[in-house]
Amino acid sequence: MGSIVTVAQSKGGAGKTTLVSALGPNLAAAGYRVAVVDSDRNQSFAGWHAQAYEGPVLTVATEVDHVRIVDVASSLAEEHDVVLVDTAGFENLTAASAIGMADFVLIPCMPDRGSVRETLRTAQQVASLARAARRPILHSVVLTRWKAKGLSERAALDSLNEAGLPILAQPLSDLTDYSKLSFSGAVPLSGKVGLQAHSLVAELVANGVIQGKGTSGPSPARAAA
Amino acid sequence: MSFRPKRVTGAELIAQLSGATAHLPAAAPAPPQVAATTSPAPAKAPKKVQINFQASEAFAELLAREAEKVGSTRRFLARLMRDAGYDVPEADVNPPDTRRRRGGGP
Repeated sequence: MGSIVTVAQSKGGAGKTTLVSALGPNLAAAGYRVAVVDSDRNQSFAGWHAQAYEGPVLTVATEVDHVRIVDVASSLAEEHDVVLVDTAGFENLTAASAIGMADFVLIPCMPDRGSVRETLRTAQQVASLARAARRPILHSVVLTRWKAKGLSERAALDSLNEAGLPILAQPLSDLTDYSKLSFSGAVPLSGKVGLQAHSLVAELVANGVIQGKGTSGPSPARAAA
Repeated sequence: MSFRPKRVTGAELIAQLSGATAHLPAAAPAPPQVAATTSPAPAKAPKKVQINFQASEAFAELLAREAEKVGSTRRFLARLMRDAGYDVPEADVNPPDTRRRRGGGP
């Protein structure tokens, strides 16, 4: 059974679809069987995949219903190693279901005040849903549109650290490559974008979210279950 | 320590999460409901013809006087015939009042 990784953030435009667009093809290029469920009614990812995407094979489904999305993602997890769930940029029932069923939740955060505030809210929502589901829901913040030495980045990081949120070490940099891929449909599997995606995948493997390629037996997460 | 949760169905998960999701809106708005009490389209008025006939002066005056009480000659005759048991179109029993009002103010 594969892992369900939900990308959620109650602020729109924080990099959810960009993160999925970078991770999905790079996971597939690394040999993972990857499915993406687009639960945003704008269908940003599904539309991009249908009209522009050029790259390794991805299974893409769209589902905005808060009940059916659980069954769709669970079904895809039977046949895929990783199911990425892209959610809409506001608190809604479908995103809550996607968080509630997830093995791991990625919360993208840009270096601005509104993004940090909504990251904290999303993390609180994850905690609330974990209490309701009576199980821990692992999550981490992914820094997006990040400049390593920016002042606003430092302020944002201070706020996130003060709140005690787990943060993945690898940010998605403020690169034009990320905006270009939305038009070209070609996701870089090498260069800066490829390296950043590979580092994120390595962190997900290290966290036991997905099984490392080239290893056999159960993943650390499954072994601990 | 992390662990992989047992997969549950959508209905089971929704039931589990209901306490934490009661305030949340749906991801997509429900399609607008068609109002059950939409007003019917206005009935099309039947085609009309002109009626002229000769009568005695006394009868003409009587008819004009009584018709004035109910608003129009057409309405007066239609009501008379309906009250007598004839099937009179509603358009003739209650025609639109097109009388020009005379100023009654000071």
